[in-house]
Amino acid sequence: MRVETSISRMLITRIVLFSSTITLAITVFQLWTTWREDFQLIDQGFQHIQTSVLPTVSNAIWVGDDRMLNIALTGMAALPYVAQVEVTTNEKQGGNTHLAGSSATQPLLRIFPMLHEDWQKQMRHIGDLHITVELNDVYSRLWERGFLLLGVNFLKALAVVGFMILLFERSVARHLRDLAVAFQNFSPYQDFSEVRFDRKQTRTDELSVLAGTFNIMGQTIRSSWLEQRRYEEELGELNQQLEAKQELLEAFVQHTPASVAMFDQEMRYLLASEQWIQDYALEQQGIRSAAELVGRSYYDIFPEIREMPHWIKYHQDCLAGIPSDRDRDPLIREDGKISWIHWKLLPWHDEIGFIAGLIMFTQNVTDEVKREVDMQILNGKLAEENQRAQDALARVQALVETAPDAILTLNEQGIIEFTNRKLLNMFGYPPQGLIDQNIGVLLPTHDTEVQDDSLEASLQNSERKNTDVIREFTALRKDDSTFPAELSVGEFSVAGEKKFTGFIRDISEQKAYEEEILQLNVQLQETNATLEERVVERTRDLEIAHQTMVQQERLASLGTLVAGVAHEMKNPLGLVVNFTKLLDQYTADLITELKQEKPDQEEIEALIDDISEVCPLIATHGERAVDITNMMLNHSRSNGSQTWAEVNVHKLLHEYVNIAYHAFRANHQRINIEQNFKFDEKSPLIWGSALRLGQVFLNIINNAFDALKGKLDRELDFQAILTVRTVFEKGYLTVEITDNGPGIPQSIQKQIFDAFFTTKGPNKGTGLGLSLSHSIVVEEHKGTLHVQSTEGVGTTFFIRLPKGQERKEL
Amino acid sequence: MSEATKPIHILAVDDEPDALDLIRHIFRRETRRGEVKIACSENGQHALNFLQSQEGTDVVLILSDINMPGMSGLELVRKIKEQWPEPPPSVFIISAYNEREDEAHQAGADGFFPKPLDMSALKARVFEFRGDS
Repeated sequence: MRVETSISRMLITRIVLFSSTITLAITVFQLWTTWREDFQLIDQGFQHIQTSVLPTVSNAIWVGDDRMLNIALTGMAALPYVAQVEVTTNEKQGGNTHLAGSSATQPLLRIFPMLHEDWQKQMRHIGDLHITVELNDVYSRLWERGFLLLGVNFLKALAVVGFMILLFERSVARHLRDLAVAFQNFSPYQDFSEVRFDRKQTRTDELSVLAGTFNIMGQTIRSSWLEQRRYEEELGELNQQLEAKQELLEAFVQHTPASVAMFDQEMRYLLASEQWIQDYALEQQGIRSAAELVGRSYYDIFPEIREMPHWIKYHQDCLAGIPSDRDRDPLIREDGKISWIHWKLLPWHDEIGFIAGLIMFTQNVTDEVKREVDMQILNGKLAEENQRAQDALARVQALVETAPDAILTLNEQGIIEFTNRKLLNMFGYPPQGLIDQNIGVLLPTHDTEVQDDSLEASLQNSERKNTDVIREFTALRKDDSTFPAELSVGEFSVAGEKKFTGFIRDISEQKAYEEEILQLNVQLQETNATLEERVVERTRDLEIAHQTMVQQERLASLGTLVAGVAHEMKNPLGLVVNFTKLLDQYTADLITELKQEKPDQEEIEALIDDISEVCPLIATHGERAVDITNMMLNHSRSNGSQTWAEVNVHKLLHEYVNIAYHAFRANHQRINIEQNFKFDEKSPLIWGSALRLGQVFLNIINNAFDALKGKLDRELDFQAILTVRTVFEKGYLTVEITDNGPGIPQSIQKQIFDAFFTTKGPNKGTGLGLSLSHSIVVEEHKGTLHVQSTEGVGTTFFIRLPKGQERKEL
Repeated sequence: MSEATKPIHILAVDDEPDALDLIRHIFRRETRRGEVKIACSENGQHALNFLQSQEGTDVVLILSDINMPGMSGLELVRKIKEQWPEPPPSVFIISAYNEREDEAHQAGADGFFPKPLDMSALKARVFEFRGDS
C-alpha cells in the first residue's frame, strides 16, 4: 500500500488552521478592546468638557470675556481626537458664533447646552457648545494596531508549527513509516525479520511496544503457518490412506456375497452390496448398481414396508440403540411375491458415539424356506405314506385274521408258509402247527392222490388263466375227521418266486342250508300268488276311497255354497214377488179404469206400458232363479253334466264370485270386500266344462275370501279388495284372481297344490281343493294353473285356458 | 198434475239394477204426476257423491239395500248420519234378512223394509214426507 498523504502534512495543516483561527480571534479581540479604549477616551474628554470646561465657557460668554472664551476653546480643540469646537450664543447674548479647530472628514458631533444661573437664581439657556470629533483618527490607529498584532501572531505560529513538524517527523512519523514498510513486506511464507527503530530511546514507550507486538505477531503467524503446512501435509497423507480404506470398504461391501446396506438416521442408503440389488430384484425398479441407491430412502425403494409398521418399529428401535434380528420374516413385495428374509439390524455410531444410522444384514432365504416347506411337505407325505403302508398292513392283517375263510400261502412245492388263525381252528392245529408242512396233510390219505392231482390241476389252472378257481373238496382235520370245503386259489410272486394263496371255506352248514332253501322257495312262490291278489284288492279300495274324497270335496264346497245360493235365490224371487204384485195392482187399476163410464185413455195407455215393462222383468228374475237352481244341481251331481261345451267364462266368474261372496257374508256378516272385474271383452267362449271350471273358480275365490277375512280380523282400517281380470291372447284366456290379503309364505308356495295340504286347520278344509283345481285345469282342460304371492301384498292365481275345441267328453 | 208442490226427492241405492227398477215402478205413477222424483245409485260411494252434488241437495229420503260390494248400506247410513249438517236426510234400509233390523236401527236408519218389499207400507212411509217438502 502506498502513502498518499503523510500524517505530518495533515497534522500541520490542521495545526496551522487552528492556530490561525485562534490568532485571528485574539487579534479581533485586541482590536475591539483598543477601539473601546479610544471611545472611552473620547467620552472622558466629553465629560471633562461638561464638568470643567462648560461652566467656564458659559461664564465667559455671560460676562462677555472673549479672551477667556478663546483660551477655553483652544484648550478644548487640543484635546485628543477633537477636530472642531463651535460655540453659538442666543440672541440675547449677541447671537455670535466662536470657532476653533478645523472641520473633520468623518465627524462625530456632540452638542452641549450652556446654562447660566441669573440673579433670580433661574437657570437660563444662553447658547450651545458643538464639539466635533474626528473618527478617522480613531480608525487609522485601529488599523495600525491590527496589522501589527496579526504579523506578530503569524510569525509566532509559524515558528511553533515548524518546530512541531520537525519534532513529529523525527520522533514518530519516520518510525511509523518503517513499521508500515515492515507490514507491507510481511509474508508468512518468508522468514520473518524483526523491526528495529533507529532511535536513542532506551525506555519502553508506545512505539517500542508497537514494534514488539508486531514482532511477536509476525513470528507467531510465521510459525503457525509453518505448523499448518506441516499438518496439511500430514492430513493429505491421512486422506489418501482413508480414501484407500474407504474404497476397500466399499469394494468389500459391494462385492460381499450377502445383502448388506448401511443407512443414515433418515433411513437413506449410505452403502449397499450388489447382492442387495440381486436379492431384492431391484433391477426391475431400474436400479442397476448399489451406487444408484446411495442417498435414496429405504422406504421409497421398498414402498411395501410402509404398510409393515412392525418393521418400521424395528428400524426406529435400532436407531434408538436396540438391535434386533429375525430368522425368517416374510416381506410381501408390491407385486405380491413373498420374500422370506433372514435379517439383522445393528446401529452404527459416529466418532462422537452417537447413533448415526443402522446397518442391515439380510439374507433372502425364500429359496431355503421353499426348500424347507417342500421338505416338510415331502416329510409329511412320507410319514403319511408310511402311515398308510402301516395302516394297509394292519388292515391286511386284520382282514386275514378276521376273514371268515381259512387262508394259507404255499410255495411252488406245496409247502405251507403262512396260515391264519381261522385255518388252524378249522383244521384243529396249534399255532405254527402247519408251517413248513406239505399241503397234503389237509387231505384224507385215501384221497391224497386224487386230491393232489386236482389241487395241482387247480394250481396250473390258476397259473394259466391267472384267475381264482373255486372247487369243492373233502378236507381232513388233525383228528382225522373230515368236512366238505371249498377252495379258491390265487397266485402271486415274491422276489421272482411264484407263490399261491388258498382260501378254504367250511361249507358243511351251507350244504345243509341249500336243502332248506329249496323247500322255502316253494313256499314263497305260493305266498306270492296270494299277496298279488291282495294288492289288487287294496288298490281297488284306494281308488274308491279317492273317488269318495273327491266327491267329499265337491260336497264341502257345496256346503259353503248353500247360504250364498239361498241369498242369490232370494233376491230374484223377491223381485218376482214384488213385480208380480205390481202387475197385479196395475191389472186391477186397468180393470177399474176400463169399468168407468169415461175411461181415461192416457191412464190406460200408461198402465199398459207399465204392465208390458214389468212382465219381462218377472220372466228374467224367474229364469235367474232357475239358472241358480240348475247350477246347484250341476254342482251337486256327482258325475253328471260334465258336458264339454262352449263356456262363457265371464258369466261364470260373475256368478261364482257372487255366490261365494254371499255365502261368505252369510257366515261372516260384517265383512265387506270390494270387487273389481276387469274383463277382456274380446275374449271368445272357451271350450270346457262349466261345472268343473266353476269348481276351480269357486275354490280359488273361497280361498281368497278366507285370506282377506284373516287380514280384516287383524287390521281395522284394511280395505279388502278382490280383483278378477281376464286377458285373451294368442288363443289362451288367462283368468287372474287377485286378493290383497296377507299372501302365501314363500316356504309353502310349492306345497299348496299338493293333495291334503291345508292351512285352514282341522275340519275346515279337505286339503283337496287346489289339488283338484290343478288337475281340472291342467289335465282336463290342458291349461296351466300357478300362483304368484308376496307376503303382506297379496296373492294372484293365474288360470290359463286354451280356447280349445269340441270333443265328446272329458 | 197437482199444484206447484215440490216433489219428494228420493235416492235409491242398490247394486242390483232390477231392484232399482222395482223402486222406480212402485213410484211410477207418483213420478209421472210430479209428486215424487227418484234418483238411483249403484253403490254407496256414488250415493254420497250424488248427495253432495248440486242435484242431490234436496234429497229427503234414501232407500238403500243393505248388502252391496264396497260400502254397505249400514256404512252409508252411518256416514250420512255422522257427516250431514242438521237435519240429515232420512234413510230406509232394505234387506233380504229380517234379522238385520236391529242392526239397521243401531246404525241410525229411520226405517227398515225386508224383501220382498211391502209396497203399500213403503208408499205410506214415503207419503209422510209430503207435508215436509
